[in-house]
Amino acid sequence: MHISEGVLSAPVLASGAAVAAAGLAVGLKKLDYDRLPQVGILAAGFFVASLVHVPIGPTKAHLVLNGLLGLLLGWAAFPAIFVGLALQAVLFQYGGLTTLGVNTTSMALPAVVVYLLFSRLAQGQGRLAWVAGFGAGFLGILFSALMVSGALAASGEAFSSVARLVIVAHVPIMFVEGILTAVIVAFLGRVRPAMLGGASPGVSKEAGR
Amino acid sequence: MRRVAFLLIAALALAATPAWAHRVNVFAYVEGNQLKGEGYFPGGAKAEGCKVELVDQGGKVLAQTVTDKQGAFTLPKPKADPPLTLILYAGGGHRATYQLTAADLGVASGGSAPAAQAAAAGSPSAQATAGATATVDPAQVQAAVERALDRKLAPIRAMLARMEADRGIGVQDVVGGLGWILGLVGLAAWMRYRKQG
Repeated sequence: MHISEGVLSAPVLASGAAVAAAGLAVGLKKLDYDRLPQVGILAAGFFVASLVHVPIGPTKAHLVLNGLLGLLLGWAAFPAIFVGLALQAVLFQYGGLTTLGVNTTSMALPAVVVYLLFSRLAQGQGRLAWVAGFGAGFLGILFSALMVSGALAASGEAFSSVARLVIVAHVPIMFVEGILTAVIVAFLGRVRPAMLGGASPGVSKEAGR
Repeated sequence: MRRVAFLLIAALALAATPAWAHRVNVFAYVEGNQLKGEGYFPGGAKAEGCKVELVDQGGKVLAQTVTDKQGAFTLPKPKADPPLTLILYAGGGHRATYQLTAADLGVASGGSAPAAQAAAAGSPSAQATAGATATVDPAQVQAAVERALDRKLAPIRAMLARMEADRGIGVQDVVGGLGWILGLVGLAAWMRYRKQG
């Protein structure tokens, strides 16, 4: 899911960076600072998750957890994912510094979309929370794979073949993350429902803590 | 909740111990007149059917080929001035590079000077013994020795090149990253609460 240096064209890199900067600004503005530890813990989870490889299917893809981050953090997923990706680029040589903007966008934008789609549903009871969790985990990866394919296609690779490659490689991860996110959301719904509102004020306070 | 999150991260960190990177590696070495190399994914899978390009400093493509089923490829030994860069495209946004320095190519002043000395040192002795034995062309001897050395050293060169390309992810990288995140959270909290006074 991490795009390496030197693969993308300059306009794609620039627009990725612009979207990432805008997302970061919104994320930091909307951040409820009382929930800073939660953002930090989830950023750490995202950072480490990339080391967990799931050896199912044709290629070994790794966990991303962007659906989970989106559901729990809302717009604050942008700064959390940005920090996680920057550290992965520097310490693990995943992706690269020039592609940081594109990679942040392709993982954090789906996280926000998933938050907008599922955050109300995730606060529901019983089966609804499971459905929301699975949908968030599954679609988070699917949207990311589509965005990565789009970025590569915009840089000159044929969309159909790239998309097939990237999406097929991530199908196992979609299911793994769907189940993982559903388990975590269902658990949090019982233990700490206030966490499911996204790390911005308003929604979380409505939900009560 | 804090404890649960901590356990989750600890579990993820432990599960990560056979640290495979989601990236692709490439390395190459000179053997005789050929540049041999291999592309692979950390964890052992071979980078099969990937495009490989040899590029000079100016970004001009000097040669290109495609890896075979074992991820291996062979190019003619480049004549251009080092350093050269080898680029492997694994598709899906993954790309690896490997720097070929003068020493790797064995063409720099460091490589040719000892060879010239050896030839110079070799010729008087060869002439001295020429009377006793049959005539031996020092250039031929030197070429034969170089071929033999190349052959014998190839596996070691491959191993060294691979080690250089294959820096794994250590526990210190993971712990360091977590420390950075902790620090950033602390910094954000400090800035926030200092403002509130």
